[in-house]
Amino acid sequence: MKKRFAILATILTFTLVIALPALAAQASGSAESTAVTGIIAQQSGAYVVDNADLLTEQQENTLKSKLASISSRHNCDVVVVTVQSVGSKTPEAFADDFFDYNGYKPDGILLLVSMQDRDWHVSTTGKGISAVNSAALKRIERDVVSELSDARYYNAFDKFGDLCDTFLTCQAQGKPYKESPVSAGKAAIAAIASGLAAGGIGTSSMKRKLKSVHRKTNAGDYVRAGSLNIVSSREMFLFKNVSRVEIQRTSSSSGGGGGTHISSSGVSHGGGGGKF
Amino acid sequence: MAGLQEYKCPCCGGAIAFDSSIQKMKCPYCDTEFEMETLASYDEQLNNEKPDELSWDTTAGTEWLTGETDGMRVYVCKSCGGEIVGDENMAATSCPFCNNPVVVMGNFTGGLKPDLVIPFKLDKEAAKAALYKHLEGKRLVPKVFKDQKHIDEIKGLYVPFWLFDTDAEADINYRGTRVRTWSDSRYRYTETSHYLINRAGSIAFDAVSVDGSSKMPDDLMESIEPYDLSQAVDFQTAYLAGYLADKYDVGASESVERANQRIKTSTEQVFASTVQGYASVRTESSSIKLYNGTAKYALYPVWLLNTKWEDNIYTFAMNGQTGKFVGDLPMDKKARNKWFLLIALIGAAVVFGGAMLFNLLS
Repeated sequence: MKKRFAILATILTFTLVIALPALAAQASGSAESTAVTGIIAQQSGAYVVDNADLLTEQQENTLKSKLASISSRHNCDVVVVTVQSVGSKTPEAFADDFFDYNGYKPDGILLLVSMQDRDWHVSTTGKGISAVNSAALKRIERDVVSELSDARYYNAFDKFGDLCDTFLTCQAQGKPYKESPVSAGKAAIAAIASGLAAGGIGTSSMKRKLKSVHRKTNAGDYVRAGSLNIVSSREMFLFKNVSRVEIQRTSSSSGGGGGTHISSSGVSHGGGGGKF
Repeated sequence: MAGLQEYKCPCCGGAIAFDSSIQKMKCPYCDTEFEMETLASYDEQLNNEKPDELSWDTTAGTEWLTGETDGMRVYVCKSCGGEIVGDENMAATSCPFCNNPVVVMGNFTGGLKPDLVIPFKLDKEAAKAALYKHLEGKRLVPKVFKDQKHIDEIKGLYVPFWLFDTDAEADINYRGTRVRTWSDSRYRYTETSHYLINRAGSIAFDAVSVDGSSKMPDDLMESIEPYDLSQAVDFQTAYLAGYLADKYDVGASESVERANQRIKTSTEQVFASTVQGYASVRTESSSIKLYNGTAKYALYPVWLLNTKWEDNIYTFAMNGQTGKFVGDLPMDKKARNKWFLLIALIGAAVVFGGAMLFNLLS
């Protein structure tokens, strides 16, 4: 028993001795990132950083390998980051900085989820900017954010990976991503509805043609030509009233999809975000 | 001493009072403010209103000369009681109103001699051609209406009309609004100004026609109007040869009501068309006075065809002078359902195909 414990202790010590310098190195490497984001990626260039602990260990590993494969295939980092809070920063600045300071490739798409204020933000860099166009961002908002709202985090991130794969594939083929076309089911429903409407309009217009007898309410046909003689024509102002209506300002919870901005590190970013 | 003048608010109709703080009249109900002069002249304008004066001299037609009606016979329909006039040589015919045979009742007597007649300008062939054209493109019509043998039954009939000539004097008040909108950073403002508009003047009408036969539906006859009276000639019995004539059974003094309605509406419309530059206009009050009103009795040519379908009689009528053709037609429900299905299928196929094509292209 004692012997076993001794062996275990030795292994532990040995491991620590070997690991320490590496840990120290990483700590100094991400000192800058700690200063900027207040969060340390456990591993430089990690594809999943689950600081808000939304995923199980197993889910995290599955997602990691999936995103790693997508990232290497397209040579563009696809990253998911969850945090409890973005602190005093805006979600946009936080997401941009997280990507810039954690040793990712110059091309990437990062999804940030911040639990405290229920913010989501997609930050894109390099070729990620053109891959995630406004149609793509809308798709993310529809498919991913709805899952986030329902607290199905793993599904949301899994879907995010798939979508990024699609967006990057579209870009590689030189075709910007477009909303997927009409499904056959929807088309069939629309077809039946418009068929019924067309039938109704068609037959009712045929039916209208059957009616040609109408009373004449005026005697306009019998006015003697040139007999109209207006002798007095007056206008009198009576009163006026003024009503006012408050102008409605449209506000939306989702951020803009178009355009790019420069992050604190001087890198150009795109993307967009909102609340979930 | 004059009684206390009380004004009504032109905006809401409530009794209005003088507001000493603003030195204006102010309505206690709707808070609208007015100048004193405005209210006074508004009141004066509306008090000027006079009732309509629609007076007529409805003497029309003349007495027949001795022997003039000798060749004319009256035929009566035993089925619907319709009486028609034809010449003595007319072959056996059927009633233009219900298609049943008519019999000679005797010599034509009584009634008035028409002042004018517009002779038939379009013959039977033209009438049939017009009927075919009328049925063309109407897909829901039951087949019986397109039957050649039945269409041959179309008949030429002189229909009695009363023609009313008159001068009209009108004094009409309208309420109009003008709208101005603008906005600042918070509100959008809409200012509506109300005006009282007055138009007075005169207009004249010639030969407003009202049919004098109770057998002829008024709406049918009004639908084939107008006739061009410049082609009318003084009445001669010779014009009746080969045609039927209907006897009037609604007098001029009874028919004038309809003419009055139409003249009043038309006068209001013509005067209203001179009120322009407002966002909305409605007639507040109108006073119309007719004078120099006279009536004439005329026969107008009409081609007539009755068709029986599912226990109802459908009448076609054509203006025998201008060729204007009208007649309501029934709908064949089976044909309607067939067309509905066909159009629905085509429409659905087109939309579905379009959606699929769009998918392929995008």
